[in-house]
Amino acid sequence: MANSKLYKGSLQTIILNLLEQNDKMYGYEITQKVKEITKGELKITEGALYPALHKLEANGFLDIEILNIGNRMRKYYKLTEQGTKENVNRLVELQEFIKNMQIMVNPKFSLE
Amino acid sequence: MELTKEQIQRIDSFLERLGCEYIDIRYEMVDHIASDIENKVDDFDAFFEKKEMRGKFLGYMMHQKKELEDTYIQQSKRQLFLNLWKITKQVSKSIFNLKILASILFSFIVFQQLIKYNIKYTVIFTAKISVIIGGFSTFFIWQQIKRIGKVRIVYSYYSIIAFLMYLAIYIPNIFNIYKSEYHNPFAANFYFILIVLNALILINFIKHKIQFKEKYNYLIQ
Repeated sequence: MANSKLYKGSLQTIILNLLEQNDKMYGYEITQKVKEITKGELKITEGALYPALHKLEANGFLDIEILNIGNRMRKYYKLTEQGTKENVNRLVELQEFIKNMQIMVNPKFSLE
Repeated sequence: MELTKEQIQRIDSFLERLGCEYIDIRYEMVDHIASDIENKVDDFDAFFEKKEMRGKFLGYMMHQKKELEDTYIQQSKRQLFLNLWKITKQVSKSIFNLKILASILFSFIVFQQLIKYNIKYTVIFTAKISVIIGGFSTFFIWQQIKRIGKVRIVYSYYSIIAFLMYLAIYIPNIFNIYKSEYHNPFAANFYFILIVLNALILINFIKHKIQFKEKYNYLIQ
């Protein structure tokens, strides 16, 4: 992941928000979607993605659906009701964080 | 175009050799890698060609090796602690069931009377029972692993039960239970606790067995 330290804390929010917009997605699809949206700037690695997905699943924010797609199984993730609420809360937190960061790095800009 | 069954099998075998032993993680990794290959490679047959000593497929997998190992090790470690915590929570909750609590209390009172009545035979009896229950539980959960496959949560149950079995056999050593130095209340109570823990974990596993089967039904061939 580019600038991994900066993005690390927001990965779960990114996943929740993507699933909010796309109903259900599988792991590889999430990495490609993020790459596409950020024009290749943000690359989520397997090492970061799957532990985050499994943690969200364990916390009850994601539900899974296993589908047979030809010669292999595919695990789809989708938001639970609890996950939808969590996504709203995390987005508010993230926006607050971005606002504070803008104040910190560019005080003049934030006063305007 | 999709990869063939044989090509999927090669990815799966590679991951298994890499140490991805738990199938519930591996099938997801297989899908990830297969999707990546389908997305990036035009000629699958040439990609999986075995003629060269170091074919394109092997090169691709070796390039991913570090990332895959990190993913797997990170998930396995984290999941092990998560599962142990989950099982401990479930077992603790089950103790607060009135029937179970009453049964444990009743058994404990009877057991204390047995210790007072004849410590030697109480130790020998409880030691044997704890090994028998431990052996049965280990065998029972092992059968489930054979049936479903090496799924992390089932394997966590197996690890805990096997650990209790180890304690029952070696601490104190089961072959020494006939020696008088082991005929004391501590040894008797130790075996009693092992029996109770074993029974609670086994009951808990049986309660969740149907849930596991439903969840991992797709893995049962």
